[in-house]
Amino acid sequence: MNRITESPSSPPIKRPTLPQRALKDLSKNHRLYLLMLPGFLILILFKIGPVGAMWIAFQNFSAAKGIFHSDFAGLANFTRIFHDPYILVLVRNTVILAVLSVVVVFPIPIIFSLFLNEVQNKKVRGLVQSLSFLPYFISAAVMVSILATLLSRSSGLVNNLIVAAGGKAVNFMAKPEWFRPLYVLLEIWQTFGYSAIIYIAAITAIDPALYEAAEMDGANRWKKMWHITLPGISTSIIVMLIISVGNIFTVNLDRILLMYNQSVYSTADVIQTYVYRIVFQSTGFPDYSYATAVNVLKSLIAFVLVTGVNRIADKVADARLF
Amino acid sequence: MKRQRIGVFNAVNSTLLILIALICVYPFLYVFFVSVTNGTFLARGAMTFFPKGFQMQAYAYILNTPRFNVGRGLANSFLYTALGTLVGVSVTYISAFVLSRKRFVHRYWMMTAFIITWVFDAGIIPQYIVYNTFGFVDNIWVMVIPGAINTQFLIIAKTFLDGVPQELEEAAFMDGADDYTILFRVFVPLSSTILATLSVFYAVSIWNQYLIPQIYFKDVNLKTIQQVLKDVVITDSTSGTTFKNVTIGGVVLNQQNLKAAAIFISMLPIVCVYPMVQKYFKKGILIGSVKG
Amino acid sequence: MRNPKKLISLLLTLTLAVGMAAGFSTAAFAEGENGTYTMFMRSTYVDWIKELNWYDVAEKNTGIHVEYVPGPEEFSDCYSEVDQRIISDTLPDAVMTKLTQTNVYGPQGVFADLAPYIAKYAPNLQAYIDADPTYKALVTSDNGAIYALCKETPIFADFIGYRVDMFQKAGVDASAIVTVDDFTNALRALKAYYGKDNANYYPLCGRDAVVRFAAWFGAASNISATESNGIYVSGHYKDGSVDIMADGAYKMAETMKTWYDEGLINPDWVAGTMSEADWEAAMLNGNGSVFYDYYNRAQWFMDNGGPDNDPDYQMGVLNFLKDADGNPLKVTTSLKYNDECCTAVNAKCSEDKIKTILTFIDYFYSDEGKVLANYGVEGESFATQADGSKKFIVDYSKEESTPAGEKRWSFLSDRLTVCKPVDNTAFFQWNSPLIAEAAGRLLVPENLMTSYVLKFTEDQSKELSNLVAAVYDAEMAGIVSFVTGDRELTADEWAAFQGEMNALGLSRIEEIQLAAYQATYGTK
Repeated sequence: MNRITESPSSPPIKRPTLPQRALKDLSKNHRLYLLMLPGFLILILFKIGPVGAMWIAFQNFSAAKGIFHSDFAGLANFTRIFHDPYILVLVRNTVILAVLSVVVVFPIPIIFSLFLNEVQNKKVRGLVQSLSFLPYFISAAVMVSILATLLSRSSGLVNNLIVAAGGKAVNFMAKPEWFRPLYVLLEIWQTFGYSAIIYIAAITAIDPALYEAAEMDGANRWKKMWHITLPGISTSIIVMLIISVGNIFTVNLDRILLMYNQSVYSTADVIQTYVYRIVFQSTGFPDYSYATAVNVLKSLIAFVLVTGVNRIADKVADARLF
Repeated sequence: MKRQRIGVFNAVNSTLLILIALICVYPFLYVFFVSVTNGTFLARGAMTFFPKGFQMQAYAYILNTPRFNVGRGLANSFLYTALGTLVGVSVTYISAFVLSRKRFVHRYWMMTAFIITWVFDAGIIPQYIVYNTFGFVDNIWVMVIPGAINTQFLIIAKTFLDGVPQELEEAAFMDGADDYTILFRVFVPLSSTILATLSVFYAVSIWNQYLIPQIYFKDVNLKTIQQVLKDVVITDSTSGTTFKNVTIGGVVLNQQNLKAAAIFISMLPIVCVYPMVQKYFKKGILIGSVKG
Repeated sequence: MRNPKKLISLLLTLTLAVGMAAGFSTAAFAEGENGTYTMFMRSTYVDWIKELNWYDVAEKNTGIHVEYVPGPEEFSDCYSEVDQRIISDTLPDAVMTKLTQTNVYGPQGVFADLAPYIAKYAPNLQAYIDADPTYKALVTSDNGAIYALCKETPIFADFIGYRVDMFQKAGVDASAIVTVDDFTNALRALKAYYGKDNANYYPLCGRDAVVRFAAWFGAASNISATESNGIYVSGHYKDGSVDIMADGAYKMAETMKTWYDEGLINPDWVAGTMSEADWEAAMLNGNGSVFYDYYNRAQWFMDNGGPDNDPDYQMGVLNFLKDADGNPLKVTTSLKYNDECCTAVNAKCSEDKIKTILTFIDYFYSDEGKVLANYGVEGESFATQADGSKKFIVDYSKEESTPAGEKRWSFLSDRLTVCKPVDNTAFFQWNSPLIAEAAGRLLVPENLMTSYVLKFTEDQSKELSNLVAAVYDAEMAGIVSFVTGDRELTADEWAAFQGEMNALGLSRIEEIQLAAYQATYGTK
């Protein structure tokens, strides 16, 4: 009965085995493999290596015993995190700052590069771009010091204006509700020029013919921006968004520590400052295992977010990263 | 009518942007102003926006005191930055090229590995454990090799290379080119913008690097300029040793002067280099429609 | 270019190989005739040791040379580097480290147990240890081993510095200020006199944390064999010392609130936004007249711009305050023994090397060494008076003004990690006349609270770090909110505040501290 369904003349197709396929791939693409070799070595040795060393989060790490002989502590470090009564406040503050960093800080370089692109004068454009990059070099200490001088209750420019307009001087650096806006302001000030480089570079890659064609169709500058420039840099935007999300829990610790004082601590204390206090100050036997455990958790969450954004980017814009 | 409207928009736009640019340059100028103000005014908080009592003694002090080997520090920083940028841009660009080739079967899992290792911030001690095994302590290559691929920059480079149309590569293959030729004869010439971008990013990140030198450089001759100038002002709160003002040539310098001068010296070189790179941002390099 | 990639990859491989082959730099250094050893120490301390004349004499007299390996500047970085050196096995013969590290690494075999060697080679040091049971308890571990030697520091207290000329002009009699109320009234008089023309004038000013007056109200942290009150760990013995459960704490908040409401204390300081530079500017400009800070700051203002701005500028030091019955209000002091600055010895050292190290340290505990390190050389830096006391014959200001990096006579014993006993009299004598006089007047036992270093087990340390990191900042923020009026200061609110702190971990902190005290010093 089976003989009826069998196809009479086609031989069984033999699928190449894995070693055969690998060999074929190697012979065809051996140059690519060679080119990739340095990058691959760096990946294995210097990236996967240290991440592997995060194993100390599951240990009771002691420098004397080293990573291979320190006692195994299982999840003890992690449960310690959750037993902390203070952790909820920290998580709230950390999450809010993280969200602000993506929602508020992220769009600014894009808008800046769009408008910079509209400047006709090459010299002005070049000058503005160069200067916008400068704050990136300035250390947190200098920026906070400038901010403190500007906002000083007794002699700062801002308060002088407020008093002249009939208001009462405010000590902004001591108000918890001002901490986040000021932190975000400094973040924007310091990084928008640096991030804008990507978008500016992407804009230069857009074919000028597209603009000429649009011009002939009678499009004004806003239409051009919306229909040509923005889509033109859309891949860059998505990629930078993924990078931004990957960095979501990275705070400028120096900046927070400098802006931190008892008056603002209800909004300024984040997980990173808390761990810093634990590991590096007071009664410390520096507890690297604990700090690493916190890092592991933070990174896990960030990774889930990045994967999520990557998937969305794939579905919506066919622009997956990995 | 249209010309007038464009004129107004342009004027407003340009003015606003120039204003923003001035706000951005102000911190840099502020540091310089603090360093050249007379220390007596600084101590009294009398300097607001512009320097008072101009003096250059802070720089004279730093450059003339043998304790601070500014020349050595600058030379080291230049060396690490130049070397690191060269290696970093090359390795990153080439790796991004490979990872953007659709025929490279490993590109997805490798990229995933890069991303995981970037998001999972290992921390100083795990990093130290690994680097130490490779003998990077007191070794200048620690500034060059481990950082040769910065995952974020890799992502940016790969995205750029993804956007180069397939047709170019296919045409080159049909002409009998191999991977090396495609890379160096076809892609590199098209990539002046991205190479310039990568160079700037790597140069800045290496120049500003302070944790790696601090942890791994014990030998005084290897120190970067930031390290050299870090102890220009010794104030020790634990023993109540507050920095005593230094008087040079009749001018009083207090710690703010010296700190600001030190910061300015360590910032100046890299800031001067950046504008030179701008000319590589060329327009319209790719022919045909490109997505991003 | 043919196969450029091969060239590049070859270069990179070579590079990697070279990198891995490159070793550490080994510097050649001087040898002492009786021995040499290497010691890792904070860079600032190393610089200071190199400037000392008496240190050279010590090395000459003992014939031992110490080659210092400079570490970072920040203490926390130093301790991190010790950890890193342990990992990379590049620990020198001796290190400067902290007691909590040696308590853990010692038993794990990183640091040598010095107890038997001290008995054998360091008689003076042994006598010192035996003479002070507190020190003995501190450095000896449970099994009788000694892994580190803590340094002794001078016993500091903060002084109340004030502008003598401003007080005089305002008609305030500084010598009549005895109680806290007198102090407040003096501030009022100053505010009335100077505040009417100067909106930025606040008599009492300072920097960083404002909660430092707890001892004036009997509300400082304290500990004994039977009770532990307030946070009592490193960094909270002298500064940051407050026991919010004490009755006096409420009074303190009330008084500070009065100061705040009447404009007697700088509001920026209360809010926590007054940096050191801001405070210095205020004092130099005459926007403040009184501060309560590090003991030698009054002199600092005299030397760093005060008289330049105002020729009448004169600083003085007020007496410590007394309570209503005339009893001195004991002020908080720094520890006699600093557990963050200890000398530990590498367990890999041979007995010979340990002998060298201990011989050098022991020298400073001998009579000859004590005089050398605290007074210098007779005839060169000091002279013995008729009554047997010693007096410096070199000028403090001149010596300390020597440019950094040059040799000088200096006896600032708080600046070192050379393990040696401190002669407090000598230390405070080595100061400007203003400060030396104040120190002699004020630093007498009846004015000072004694501080005790506590030894914690690893688990206690871990739990404490978490708790202190949360509770201390919450306490400070809470007190400040009462003072500024953000939170209403009533008995109920204060009680609620106390409850919140206990819930956050204050009571648990006190429990752990008490247990540690009893373990270190016994239950009596």
